[in-house]
Amino acid sequence: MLKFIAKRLLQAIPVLLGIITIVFFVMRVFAPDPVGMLLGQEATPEKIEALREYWGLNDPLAVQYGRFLGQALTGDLGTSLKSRQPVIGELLSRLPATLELGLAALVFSVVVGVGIGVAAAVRQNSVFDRAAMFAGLIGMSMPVFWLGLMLIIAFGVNMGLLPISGRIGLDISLVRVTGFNIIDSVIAGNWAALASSVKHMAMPAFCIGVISCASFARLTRSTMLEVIRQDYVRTARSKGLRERTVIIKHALKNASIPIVTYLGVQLGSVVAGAVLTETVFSWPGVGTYMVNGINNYDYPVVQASALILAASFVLANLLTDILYGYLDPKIRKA
Amino acid sequence: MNEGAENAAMERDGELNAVLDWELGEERSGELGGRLNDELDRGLGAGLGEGLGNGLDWELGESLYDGLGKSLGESLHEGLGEGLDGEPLAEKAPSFFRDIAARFCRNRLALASLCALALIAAIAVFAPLIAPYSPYAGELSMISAKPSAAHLLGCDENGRDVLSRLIYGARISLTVGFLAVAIQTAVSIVIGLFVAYYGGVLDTVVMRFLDMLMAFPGILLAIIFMSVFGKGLENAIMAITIVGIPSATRMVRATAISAKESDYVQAARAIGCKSLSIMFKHILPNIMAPIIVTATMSISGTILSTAALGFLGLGVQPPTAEWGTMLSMGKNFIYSAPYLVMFPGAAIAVTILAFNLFGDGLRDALDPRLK
Repeated sequence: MLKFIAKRLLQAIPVLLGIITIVFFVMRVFAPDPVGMLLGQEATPEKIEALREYWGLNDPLAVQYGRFLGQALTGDLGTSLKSRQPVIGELLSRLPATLELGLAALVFSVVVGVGIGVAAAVRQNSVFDRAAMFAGLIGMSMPVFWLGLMLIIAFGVNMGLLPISGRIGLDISLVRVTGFNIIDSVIAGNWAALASSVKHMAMPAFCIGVISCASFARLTRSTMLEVIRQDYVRTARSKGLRERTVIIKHALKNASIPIVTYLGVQLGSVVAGAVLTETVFSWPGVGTYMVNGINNYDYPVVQASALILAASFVLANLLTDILYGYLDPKIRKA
Repeated sequence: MNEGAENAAMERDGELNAVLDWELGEERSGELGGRLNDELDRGLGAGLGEGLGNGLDWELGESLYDGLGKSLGESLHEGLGEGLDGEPLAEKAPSFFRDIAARFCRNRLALASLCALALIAAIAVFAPLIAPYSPYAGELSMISAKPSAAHLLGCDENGRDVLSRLIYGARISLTVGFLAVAIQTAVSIVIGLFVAYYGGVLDTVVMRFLDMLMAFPGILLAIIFMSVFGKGLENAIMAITIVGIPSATRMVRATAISAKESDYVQAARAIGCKSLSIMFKHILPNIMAPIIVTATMSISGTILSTAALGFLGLGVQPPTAEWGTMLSMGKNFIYSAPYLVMFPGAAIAVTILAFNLFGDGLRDALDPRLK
């Protein structure tokens, strides 16, 4: 198993290098000159030249690339043109918000999606099955940003049940330890903060999770339908095991491999959903940071956020791979 | 052989010749087509179904076997078998496209989605005739007016009729959807065929590069491109097109590699066809079915990405009527005028749902194995 994990880790390195390279070339080659953007009306040829020299923009592209690579690998992602702060610090303070939201969405989509899928497969062709699959079809066609706005109208504006923006109530103070509000409030024993965090997270997490949830439900249903007809399931039943044990221990366990594979695919939609949903709910995460960066023409910010989001996507895929190897010995040995 | 069977056989010959022309191009069809026809005739005379099945197989390649070879082969077998036994042929065997159409029409959901798409397309084309008001001219007295008899879906923050803007918005969404998919399909066909055909270092280098692009979630890559290209419709089309190329190329390459090994490619090479003609005249027509399905399926994603970029304020810029941009403007008035958000989003959702259902139906009709 250790060997398998090590191999997968090594394989991720060229992909990460590739991501850094693509981001660098796209941003440096195609992007308009950041110096002119930054100086705006104060731009004089001398000032521009001085700033270009200062940032090393006059060096050959290969030199710039080498420097960028070295800096990126040591964690230096540049300085924000707007706030004049190191980007890495701003990003790290926002990353837990995005991760917390993404994890919540993923847990929601897997638990609910797999649950619905199993229930639908067990009662194949029932009213529940048909209704669930049709709802899934609609769920998969739903633009997340629109769904978010509709939730805001329903639960935030009309019913006043849930807060429509931010991570935690403004009147609540919480000591930051890990940056994950839920963990922090449990550590501090601050139950008001916990309730507030969960309430703030409910709508955005649902919103990001709903598309994956629909896909998981459809996939689980079809794999379960295949597995339920296998001989070992019939054997388990004929041994007199309870139906619940048969479904969960014998059928679902064997159906879990394609579901885990699909987890990797769905991580992308979680990352993409995070960028859009954070904008809808003003969630202070990496997604809003990046969109603000674009609107301010703040290239280091865009570049670094893109790197972080893509890298977390790759790393999450790596974890899925490892989980996959754990579940399926055939993969591990191959 | 009675009259019916002879007619059927003649019709089939004609049809096969047509298929041959499609496959081989005119200059070759005489030479090779003659040979194939001889073989087919022998097959027809001998006992039929199988000989023809082989001929068709050879002709159409594995990818289409289930969809076309089997159904045509089987129906021919039945039809001719009956004819030989002296029974009159009940109906003639369905043609390729009629067969697909018949299978598509049996799927009611897919048929409904096709109608919905036709309606949306008609709305987009005839927008100036249908729209009750101009999408750009606002009325001061109607600013943020609620839906009423005169303005069915209300008016926006500039007093413009929301319904008219939605109708014009369909033009942008459909144009971007089709244009981006058409360009990315064309590009991916060229790249995919070349790397599949030549393989080797070219294949490795190109595919590793595309794999790296695929390491980014699609919309993230589109956002990165928009941040460097700048905002606007043309740039949005460009970004969305580029983002779709890697996965489309992968699909073309995979199907082309399996088609490359088929007998008809060997045959084409044996009679001295040039590489380009093998790629585009022999392999391409035979892998068209999965390409069309994939392209149709990616239209919905493209429309969604356009709307998403518009919503983030990176896509089509106001005052152009585009659904995502309308949502983005509307969200500022979510307390006072929630309908400014409801309707454009509903338009996006319905269009995407229709394209998804249509794509599913088309896939099942073209290649039932993929189901």
